[in-house]
Amino acid sequence: MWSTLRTMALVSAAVLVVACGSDEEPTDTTGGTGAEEASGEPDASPEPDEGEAASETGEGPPADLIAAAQQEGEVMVYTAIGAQVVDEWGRSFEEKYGIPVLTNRPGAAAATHEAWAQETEAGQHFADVVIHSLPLLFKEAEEKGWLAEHTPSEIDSYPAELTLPDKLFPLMAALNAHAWNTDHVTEEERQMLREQGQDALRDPRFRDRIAITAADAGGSQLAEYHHVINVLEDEYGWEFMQDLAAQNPVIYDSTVPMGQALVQGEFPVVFALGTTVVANEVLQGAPVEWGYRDDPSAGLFFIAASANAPNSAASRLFLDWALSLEGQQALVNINQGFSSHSEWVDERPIAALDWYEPFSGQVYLEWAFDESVLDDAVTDMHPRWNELFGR
Amino acid sequence: MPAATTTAHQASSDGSQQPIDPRWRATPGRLISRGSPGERLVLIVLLVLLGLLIVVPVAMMFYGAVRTAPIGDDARFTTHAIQQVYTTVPYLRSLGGTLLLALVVATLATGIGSIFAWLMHRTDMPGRRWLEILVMSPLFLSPFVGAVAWITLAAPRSGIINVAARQLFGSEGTLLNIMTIRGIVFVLTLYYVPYAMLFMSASLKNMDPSLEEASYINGAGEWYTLRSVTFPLARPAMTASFFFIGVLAMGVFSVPGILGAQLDFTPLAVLIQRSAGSYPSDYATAAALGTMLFLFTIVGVWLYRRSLRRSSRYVTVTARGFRPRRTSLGRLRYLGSFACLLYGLLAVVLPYSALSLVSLTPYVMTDLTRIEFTLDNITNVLGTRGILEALQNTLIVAVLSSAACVLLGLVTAYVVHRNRTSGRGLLEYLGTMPIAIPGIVFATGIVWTYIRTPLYATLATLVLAFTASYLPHTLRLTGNGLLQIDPVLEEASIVNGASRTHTLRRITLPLSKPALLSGWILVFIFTVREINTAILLISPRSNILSVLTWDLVQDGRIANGAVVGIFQTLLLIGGVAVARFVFKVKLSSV
Repeated sequence: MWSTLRTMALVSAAVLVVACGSDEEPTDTTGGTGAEEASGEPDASPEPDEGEAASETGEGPPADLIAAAQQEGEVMVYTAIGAQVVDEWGRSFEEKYGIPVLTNRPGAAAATHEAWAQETEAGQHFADVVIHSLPLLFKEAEEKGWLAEHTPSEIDSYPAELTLPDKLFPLMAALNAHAWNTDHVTEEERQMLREQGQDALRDPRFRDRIAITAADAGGSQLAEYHHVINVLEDEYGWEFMQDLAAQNPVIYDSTVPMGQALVQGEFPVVFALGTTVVANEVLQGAPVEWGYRDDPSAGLFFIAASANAPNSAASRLFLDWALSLEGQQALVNINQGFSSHSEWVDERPIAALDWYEPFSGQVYLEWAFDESVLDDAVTDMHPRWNELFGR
Repeated sequence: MPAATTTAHQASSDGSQQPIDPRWRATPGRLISRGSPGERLVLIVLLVLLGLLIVVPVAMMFYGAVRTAPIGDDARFTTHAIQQVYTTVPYLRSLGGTLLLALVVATLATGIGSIFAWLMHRTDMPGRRWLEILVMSPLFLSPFVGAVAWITLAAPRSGIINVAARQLFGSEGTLLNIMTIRGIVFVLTLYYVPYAMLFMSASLKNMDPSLEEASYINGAGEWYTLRSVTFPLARPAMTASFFFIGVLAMGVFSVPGILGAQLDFTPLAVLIQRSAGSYPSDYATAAALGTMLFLFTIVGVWLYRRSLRRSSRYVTVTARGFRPRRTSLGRLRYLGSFACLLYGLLAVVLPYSALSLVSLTPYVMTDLTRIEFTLDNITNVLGTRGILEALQNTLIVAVLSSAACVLLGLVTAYVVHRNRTSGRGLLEYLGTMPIAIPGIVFATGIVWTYIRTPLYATLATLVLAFTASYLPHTLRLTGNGLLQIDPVLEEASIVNGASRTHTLRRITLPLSKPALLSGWILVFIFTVREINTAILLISPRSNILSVLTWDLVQDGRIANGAVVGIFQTLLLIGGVAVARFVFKVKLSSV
């Protein structure tokens, strides 16, 4: 008996030693910046060459920022974009600067922001950079002084109306579309969906065969439903919603499981799909296609550095790189989103597919900083939508 | 003569009679201390510890229900969420549906588990030894991962089984539809049957066989004895199982969250998660829903504890061994084996086959005639930053939580069952209370409790949360273990001059070894597969495999999630193998 207990105690003690040994440095709850408390140990990562060369010529981030960031040694990104996407994207940053990118995805946009906000309110600072698709929440954070100030070296390549100057920047757009599984629609139906766009969803043949996301699921859904119901009221409006409700669609709380249901063939047709959700599978051969409105809406992901970042220099360097053309190309080539960088050329693998048709108009992004959109949604659109669809 | 007025004596080494310490007052069948200052101190320390572990997070949840935001200077008090949740039809409807769902799942799981337990321990069914392992195996798979697997198998239009059936039989219909309320009941029942088997196995193994023997001797047949003796004796354990599973079913959100997209109602636990995760977030409503769920599950726990106490009356507390008579089933014994194999097929073989298939395809492919295989998912997962750390963290948390839970459970059970200090009832109730708290609700309270402390976002928070969550299990196991120890053995030690500490060390603890090890392995299993509690408590540096699986599935990376789910299962099997072959713990004894 005692030998058994001793064995178990030794195992537990060994595990405890490993656990304590794997603990990171104590949390800085005083709000100090990572740069001030950076270790004096030299960074063993490979010396950067592109970054230093760029700074010497005046392009890109300054050399002292790079040096300070490398001294700090890592950057923690809180992201509502898939952690694996950011993980893969971050490897490019690490290859360039020798600074590993750690990711944390507390959940979708609201959950990501809430996790960061609660921690900040409580004086617990882990996040260096925050990425999610709810700009109004970022605006609240900015008013509370939670966003760090930094002027990215390529800021002139971005539309000013999509930024909070030196605080918040557009990272990537995930366009909304209606989509279909080509194995589960006839060729005639496929042509209807391509040529008639989302109007095809009104056709009785699609009754009981459609899935949609809930209007209050997140920022992308807010953009899509506001655009369809209010902005395009003459063309679609509540009449379209009523026709859609009459098709007895299945409603998902999130676009991700809906996208998976589409890929699997559970639902032949879906509406309000953020296309980045299924793009990876499509490139792997999944039988899915989609179509945009002429002026599609988009979930717009924003990026900001935390004013309380434990690694202040690394957070700003990552921000700078993320908004550079190089960083943008790296991101959208992974998750097939859209960049707002003025010099970005669409060379995404998804755009090269036979069925892919680009949209002809402008992406609807005006909702992003319009507080009346959210106010209207909470007081009117969401309750009315939920009632119409029986939620 | 009242025992208090009797001065007992013990024989000393010189043959003279020495008075026994008057604090040790022997009562029929029990040797219990009246409560020394030291014992009262231990009780107080335990009450404080359990209060911090359990009561404080629950109190924070109630606090959050009356605030506009959980923390922050802008938050103020409001009763709006409480009013909405407790008085409006949609929420009350959800409550009714949740109760009904829990009732049905508990009934089915208890019934099936009872039958299996009887087949294993009271009949001559062939292959009992291996079938028992098979029937207990669903403990290794989290219900969430099982639900993901069953969507792949039985989604109405695209599930593998339905696609294959259409191709084989040329029909257009749907053979199985898992995305219904029946589907949710089916999956939950599959994964709660082992719990029922644990309760019933313990009851049947510890039941006094002399009552059944008396029935046979008096000419009653086996089926009459089963109906009139065995079943009534086992009924309290069945009732305890029913309420225990009912409480668990009320608080689970992962399975109905995955399978319930097409339901007419939303279970309370899913509403909680939806309130917290939607935009804009409504933590007050989430907390208010948590309080509603808690108030109902606490009633379930009270009923569970009453039934458990009644079932312990029929436990044989003796140092003598016994072997119960096995019912001969004749040809029906093969039917019993078939039933167990069928259960294993549905609960283990099919889901793991689906997971394995998904992990080896580029995207979820359910048409077996057009399947393509790839190892990319496995290489992607192995190359994911953080996968090794998640594996390491899972092991650390599982080992430490198990050890802490067993230790705390043992000390608590000892105070409850071996002392007479007043306050033991409250201690036992506190120790059992975590069953009533749904994982996601408890985790919310834990976040709000520890967010301003250095423990936040560390593995320690996870260990604390799991220790509190699973304390009821180790309390039950160690308590049963203590109850099964014949007090005569401890009395003999005391009478012969041994101190209490010596008696604990040389008599009580060695005899409790099976219960301790069983508790350790059970908590290890639960911890490795736990999602409901962990999902809010992990941080970038304290991620664990179960939450990594959830994240990957939520990201749409089903195939990668399947790979991690399989890794998780391998870890569980490894832990159970160590327990079985190194520490000689039988899975059926938990």
